[in-house]
Amino acid sequence: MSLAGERAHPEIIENIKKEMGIDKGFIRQYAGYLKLLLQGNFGTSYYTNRDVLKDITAKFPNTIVLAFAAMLIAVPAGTALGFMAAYRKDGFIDKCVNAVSLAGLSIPVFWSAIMIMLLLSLKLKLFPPSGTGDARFLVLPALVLSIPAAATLARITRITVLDILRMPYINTAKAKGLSSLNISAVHVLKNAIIPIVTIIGLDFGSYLNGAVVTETIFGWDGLGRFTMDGIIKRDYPVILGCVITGTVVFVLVNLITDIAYHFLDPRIRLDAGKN
Amino acid sequence: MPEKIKSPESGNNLKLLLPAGIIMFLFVISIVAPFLSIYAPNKIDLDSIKESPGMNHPFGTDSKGRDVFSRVIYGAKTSIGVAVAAAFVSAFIGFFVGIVSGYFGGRLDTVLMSATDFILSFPSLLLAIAISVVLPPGIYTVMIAISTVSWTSFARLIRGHVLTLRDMPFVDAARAVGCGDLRILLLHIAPLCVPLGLIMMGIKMGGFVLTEATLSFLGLGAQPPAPTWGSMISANRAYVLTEPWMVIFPGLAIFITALCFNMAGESLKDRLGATGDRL
Repeated sequence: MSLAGERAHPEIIENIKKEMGIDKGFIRQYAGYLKLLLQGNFGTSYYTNRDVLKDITAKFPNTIVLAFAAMLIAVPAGTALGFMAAYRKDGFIDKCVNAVSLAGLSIPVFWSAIMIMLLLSLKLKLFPPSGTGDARFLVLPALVLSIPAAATLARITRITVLDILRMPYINTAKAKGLSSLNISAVHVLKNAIIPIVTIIGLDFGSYLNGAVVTETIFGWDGLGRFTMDGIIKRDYPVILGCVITGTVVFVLVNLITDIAYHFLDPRIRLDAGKN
Repeated sequence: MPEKIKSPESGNNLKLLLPAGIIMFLFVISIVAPFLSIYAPNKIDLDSIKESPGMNHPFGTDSKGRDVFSRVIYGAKTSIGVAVAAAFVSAFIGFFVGIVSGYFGGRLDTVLMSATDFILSFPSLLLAIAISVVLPPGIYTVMIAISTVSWTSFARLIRGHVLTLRDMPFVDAARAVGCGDLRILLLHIAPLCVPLGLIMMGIKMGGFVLTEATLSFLGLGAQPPAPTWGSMISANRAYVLTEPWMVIFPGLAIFITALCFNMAGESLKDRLGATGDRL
């Protein structure tokens, strides 16, 4: 309705309906969409009439850059906090890390985005508040996006490392007289990597989720903002295209994580299911 | 010195009761709000537009002169209510799928678990957004969206638990005295899964509050002028530089509520011990 305007001639409305195919039944519309999809065609936007796939491929790299920048912050920060907390179990640092990570999990991304923008760019003028461009534009959205991911990672790392520290081989290593640095680097870190990599992979969905809000607020021209634009205008081909792309990426990342296991720990066989 | 064995109860009650108490308090206040002497949440007062926090308006007023404090109070009803309702709905679906799938196994199990995997293969918020876009916006849509996305974790947890229970002697005993499948499921297995389901609800609730807030921030939740924390933030985003209180207070409300739910969830998780670590 909004496409034709409020006082459009009934004939024009009929024409638009025919063009969009919504004069046909639900099943036939769905089948039509699937057919387009199999041909690698996401349809065209209702509003701009542009090819949705083309827009997505243009914006997608920006989102990937943002997600990796966020990972670059979240992974070192999260694992370091988790390790520190595990080594000082029940101590002051452990309690602090616990509090910080719980807070990080509870903070709404859209709110922290606005607050960080207010503080770091509008008041302190350290970074540009919004836009797409070089690394300076990337810092704030990546920071916001990394908060919940770092919190999750810190918690998982802590539990994993605690489990490992309880293992008999750690005692053996201590009894052999190895230095604590050696034990941490070789015995603990190596065994902790698998669960940590799992979480990084599984948590990739949270970057995609967070990107919708973060990109919108910081004006980063990626898939998330494109989704948001589609939602506001109820531009269904755009929304569907973005959701499908996000899902495909999410599944692919999980697949890559599974494959990475094999290289990190040769004991895990990729063909284990066949036996 | 030998390590002191801590009973799971000691010192943990406060960690559970304090956040739970805060949430109850917020919720009760928002229910009885019409009887308190605060401003009506949607009362537009053009004489007091954008007033900074003070005696009359503890959290200030927004661009239409509405009292931010009373809007935050009224908003608690939606935010907490939707999270709790979504938790019940997703727990119910997940519980049903979990016990049926775990108990009967076989082809039914394969079908139900494939459905679970199918849902889990979507980034959760994107799927919730896609659902909310198709349905008319409102709190029921938010509930449906959150439940559709999150029943899966309940189903997997309960299924795993049923798989261990199924082979217990008491189930064999029940079958030996002639109980049917339905009776065994409802009276022998389901009651033993309830505590686990309730704990999972506690753990998930913080995330549900955040999802509800995000969806209403995106304009997919309760429609204006209904006061919800997410929509208050999105509506007043433009004023954040000059009148930050319009955005700070609703955000703090979301943060505190989610934090309380997460703290309560964590102390529930601690009670489970090693099982809890995997949740």
